[in-house]
Amino acid sequence: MLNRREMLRLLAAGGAAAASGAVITSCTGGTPGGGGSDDGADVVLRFGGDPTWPFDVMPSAEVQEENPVKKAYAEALQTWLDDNPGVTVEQVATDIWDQQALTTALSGGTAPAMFPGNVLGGWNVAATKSAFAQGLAADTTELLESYDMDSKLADYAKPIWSTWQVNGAYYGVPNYFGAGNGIYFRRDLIAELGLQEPQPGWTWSEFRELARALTDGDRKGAAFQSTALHVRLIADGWLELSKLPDPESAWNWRWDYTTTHADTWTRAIEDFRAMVFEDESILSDVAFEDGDTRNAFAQGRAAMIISNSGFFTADPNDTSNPGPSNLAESLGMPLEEVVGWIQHPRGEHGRFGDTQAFMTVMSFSPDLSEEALDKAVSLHDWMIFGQGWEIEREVLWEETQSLQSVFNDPAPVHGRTEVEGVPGDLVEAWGEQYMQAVEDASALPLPPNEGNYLPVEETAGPALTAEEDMESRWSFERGNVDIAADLANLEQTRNTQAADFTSSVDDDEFAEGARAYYEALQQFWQEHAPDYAADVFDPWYEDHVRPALG
Amino acid sequence: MTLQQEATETAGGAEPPAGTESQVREPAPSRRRRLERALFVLPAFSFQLTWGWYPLLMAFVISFTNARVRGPIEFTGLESYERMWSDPLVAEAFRVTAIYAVLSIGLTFFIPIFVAILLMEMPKRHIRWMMLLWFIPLSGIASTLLFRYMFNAQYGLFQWIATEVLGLEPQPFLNSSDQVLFWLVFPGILFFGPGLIYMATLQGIPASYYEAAEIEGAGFWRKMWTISLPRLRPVISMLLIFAVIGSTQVFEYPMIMTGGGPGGASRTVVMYLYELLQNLRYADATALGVFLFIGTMLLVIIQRRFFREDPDA
Repeated sequence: MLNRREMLRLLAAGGAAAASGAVITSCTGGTPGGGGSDDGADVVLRFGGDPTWPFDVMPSAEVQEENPVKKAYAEALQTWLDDNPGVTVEQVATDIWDQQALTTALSGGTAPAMFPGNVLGGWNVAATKSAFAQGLAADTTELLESYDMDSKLADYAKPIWSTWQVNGAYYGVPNYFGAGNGIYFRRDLIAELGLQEPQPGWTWSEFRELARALTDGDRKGAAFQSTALHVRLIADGWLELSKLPDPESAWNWRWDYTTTHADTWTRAIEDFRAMVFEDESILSDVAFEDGDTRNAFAQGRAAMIISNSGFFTADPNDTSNPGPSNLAESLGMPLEEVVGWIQHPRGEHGRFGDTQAFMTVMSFSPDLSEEALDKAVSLHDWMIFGQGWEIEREVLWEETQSLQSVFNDPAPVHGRTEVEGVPGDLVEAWGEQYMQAVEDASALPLPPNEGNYLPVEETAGPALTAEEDMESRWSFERGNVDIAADLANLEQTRNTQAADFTSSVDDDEFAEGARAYYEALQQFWQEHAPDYAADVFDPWYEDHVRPALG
Repeated sequence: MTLQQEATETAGGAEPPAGTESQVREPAPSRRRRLERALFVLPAFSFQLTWGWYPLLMAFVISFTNARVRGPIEFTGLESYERMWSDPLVAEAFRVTAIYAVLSIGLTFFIPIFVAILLMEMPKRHIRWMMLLWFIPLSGIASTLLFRYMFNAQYGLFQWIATEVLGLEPQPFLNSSDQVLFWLVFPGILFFGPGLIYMATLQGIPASYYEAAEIEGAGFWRKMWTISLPRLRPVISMLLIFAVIGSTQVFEYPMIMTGGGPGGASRTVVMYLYELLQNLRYADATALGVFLFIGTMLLVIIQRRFFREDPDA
């Protein structure tokens, strides 16, 4: 029992600690060397976030016993630690998948050693690149060379990796490659109804017909969330043709939804709305998220959905997030006979680009010492590209005897599809049809990326909110929607927002970069989508872009 | 023993001389007593300083800079305020927030007052059951997620009620920009928190007040107007402040239910502020926060100015 004097001492001490601790923490920016530290020859790498991925401390023997994935990881990690004496790994509480938590840790110098760089910009590429330009991640340009990263990347991953260059530097290492988003469809239902399976190069009109044919009672042809309309509009060049260079203005860009292609946008939006409200072949709701549409597909309530290529390989044991394997199991049929995946339909003039490869970047704390940064990159290299990856596959095979567990990534960033000691390969694990679809999507040529021609802005500029608002309105609002008025409203909103931003890029530098970018774009479309180039892109480029750039 | 008596003893003083209260003067506290008082206050003061006032002050400071996570921060004057002032989506977010606040306060704050008064007319056994129902601690997030599915326009429970039970045309619910805010507020009507507090306050009103009124011939409405409502006034005043602040800062319900859609029709100011943060626009976000702070403070000041708390006034 405390007496009064002791109680007073305790209160005083507690009050002083609360005040000084918080003030000091907020003012000093935390301890240096966050994410890792050097103590003489010793290096400590600190990992944060979901302990199961991407990097974890050494799992306990009990955990390894229960979980073969953990056991495989432990063996690979231990081998690396044995080869790197003096390095230890620790777990910290910072959630590297939470943007606010991660940026707060970075501001205080306490960020974990490595984190997904995309989280910095909330998975928005422009915002992520701005974060890199602001120095929120360590510059890894020299390390990429010393680890010979270019030679380790699969050919299909190289073009997309180059888009992560920020003003000539890189702020991370390649981590995960995805073939992009596409359409999952019910192969069994299509066969049952005697319909034609979609083929690469199909159109949105064919999609609509298929959705209508697959709709039956409570089962809808497809399930969509609001991003579906964005996908539909991109097929006709929505992002490309609505944004114009404007070096005369402070932000260097302006938006035009009404002058040149308003008819195209109106037609696409009306067609989309007809699928939802007239055909009633789409399951959709403003509250839908990824999980809702995926569940609808896996539970047989929708015959098609938009999702990334990796959904096909979703873990069937994760019952909270059912995937294609669960659907096939419930129907008692082989996976490949039930579910197919294909790249998105093309636009009116054969334009493509909706299904586009993507890559996540593993970034490193800018507070790491040179040695700690090198060790962190070394560990990542070992686990993703090196022998660690092979050890993990071997152990997984020993433990599970399942090729799907061993080859759970349909388009590995390094392109390796087999491992010594494992009888079978990636194609055998997931079937030829699906792997062919992934290969086709991965091989789709990548349109020139603006970021490779123009310097990255220090601020991301106006957000995409206004555009997302309109897409959401057109997707869900019933009754008559005045699309022309909405397009005009969108144009005005975006240009008003842009008028209050000042570009960090010099006008001449911008004009020079923009000229090179649009020339590359013109060449690309002329080569890969000649109809789109001749009918749409070239006239727009000549009439609107070239005059603006002088 | 009261603090005053203790202070008198500690100071070694004798009993105060008899006389009127105004003649009794508290002796000046000793140095030790002052120190003790300061130590008792210190934890709360430190907490408020570091987690309340300091962040508030820093938010004001940040709004005048080009705040960034790392790197040099420069003073940019009113740039962020100008950007937020002219952003059409800010005006839209304030409009949405204002409508939400009016709906929320009108439907989930004032209605429960009258419901609570009506319930007090019920037998005591029923009153206890009603209070128990309101007191069941429901997880806000869990019930919000549940409502998200119940509102689904294609297979939700409310659509079934609308079409199968009430025989109406299919309703868009959250998918309509005209209806979305009402449906976001609707769960609050079913689970109105203030009802319990009103009932507890009403139970504290002496029965003799009502008995006297009844002897004088007062009916239900007269009793409500002259006894119940005036006695509830201090509680209403306090809860109204909380309701105004809560409804202008609403975030999680629309975020989970609609993400601000359709077409931004349910994006509140705090949701837009969060989007700015996600785009690393810290100064713009804090400037928007200052606008919201000023707006909310004005509403609270107006409410304090025109709402009398004294039930006997």
